[in-house]
Amino acid sequence: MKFLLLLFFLISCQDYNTNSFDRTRYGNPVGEGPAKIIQNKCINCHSGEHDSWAGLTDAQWVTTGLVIPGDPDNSLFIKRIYNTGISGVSNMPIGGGALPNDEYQALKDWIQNLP
Amino acid sequence: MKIFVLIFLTTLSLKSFGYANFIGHGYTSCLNCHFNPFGGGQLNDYGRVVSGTGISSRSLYPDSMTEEKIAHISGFLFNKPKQNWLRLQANYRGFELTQNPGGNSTKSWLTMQQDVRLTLKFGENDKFIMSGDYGKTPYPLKGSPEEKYDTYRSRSHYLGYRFSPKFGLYAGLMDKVFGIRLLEHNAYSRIATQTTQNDQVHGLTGHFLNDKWESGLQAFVGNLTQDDDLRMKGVTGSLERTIFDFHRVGVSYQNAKNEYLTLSSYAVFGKFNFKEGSAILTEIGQSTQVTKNQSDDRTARYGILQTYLRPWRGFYIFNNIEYLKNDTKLDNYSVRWGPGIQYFPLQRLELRADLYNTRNFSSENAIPDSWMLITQLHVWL
Repeated sequence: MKFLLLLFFLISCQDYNTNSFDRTRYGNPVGEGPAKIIQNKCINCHSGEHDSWAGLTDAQWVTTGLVIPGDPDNSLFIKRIYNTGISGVSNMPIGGGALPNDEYQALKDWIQNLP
Repeated sequence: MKIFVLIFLTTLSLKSFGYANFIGHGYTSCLNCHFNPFGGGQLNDYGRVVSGTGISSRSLYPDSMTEEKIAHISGFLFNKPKQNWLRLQANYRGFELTQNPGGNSTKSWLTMQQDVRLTLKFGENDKFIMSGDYGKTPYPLKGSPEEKYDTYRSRSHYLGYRFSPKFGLYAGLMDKVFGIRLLEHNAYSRIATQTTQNDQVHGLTGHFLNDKWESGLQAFVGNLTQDDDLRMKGVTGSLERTIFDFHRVGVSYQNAKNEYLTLSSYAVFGKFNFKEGSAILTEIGQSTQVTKNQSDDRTARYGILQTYLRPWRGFYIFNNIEYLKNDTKLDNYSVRWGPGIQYFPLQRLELRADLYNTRNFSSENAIPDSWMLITQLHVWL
């Protein structure tokens, strides 16, 4: 009986759920410009389970391979936002509707000006 | 035992089973077939018998296989239970996900569920139960190097006591009591309200049931395996009324918070029985979240409509339409729709296929639709 009781109350370590990354998403101060857009629109998913974009520097962004300095139109990061040239998959953010034009342009400008 | 089985068989036309759409078979409460009065989880003896003799097809059985024989092999590992206090169940659910079918498609196989379930039950009419499960859970596509979490876990473990057929109390890890417990864990109604497949909480839950009303009230302290600052603590409740003897309408409310997020959710829903296994499920709701760094403060609204048709025993055709406005401050919204089929060729075997089209609407941009085909295999013992 004791063994069965133990089985019932078996608790694993750190279960994953919807709130697992709330500390990263909502606990850190929000940046400015592109960092603020990424914080508001991307970190909700891109923290832990789909890469970890919180607090990346420009140099770290380049190493992800998602952005090509000076070439936003060919950067996968930009292409996925509106599914430009990529058919069939959902645009980003998934389920969140399309990014407003001014935010989209701000992200393009940021990549255009990366060293 | 024979008389017991025969009574069930003769009243089959009035009975129902696991998934919420099974209200189409006449049952309004999940308690009849599940140990968890709010549905999901392990089937009780009655649920097993009905799954074999009412839900599943018998076309693969010879004519000599009577319904009584099917009922007798409905127990764990095809055995009739030899004692009254221990029940076991094992489950596997996996699916192939095809993105952009027919075009530049990508395929992947995902294991959604792989677990064992155990229930101990004692007393008259199983007044006291201890129930739980343990198994493998879906692994996030890319894990964070900073976070460690188990892929083997328990999604439910609780004690339950029925003071009477009308009232029971349950303590432990359970799903939150909110809205319609849809099978589709990625439904907008479940994502917006944080009631997805991993959002179980430790708490105390009361279940109330009489001829016309059914309700649940739950106070919870989050998932105790998580760090304290991440645990969502709060209350949730649901109230349902049977109308015209066969249908259910209800309301739900949730309020929960951790150190970074406060969430309030409301929903109105209906489950309608169109006889012979056919049903309509619908829910509309709103969820408001306030975040500590104010990076994602918003109110989301959702709606879902599912229609089920059962042309013959064991086979269901359904259609799913969902709406999500992720932020009421914006004019963007998403609509997801698609048909599906569900086939139970034998007891313990479910085959299912769902086709999804997702369309995002925006006043500023035209976004291509996305398509997904999900073909699912579910096996249980």
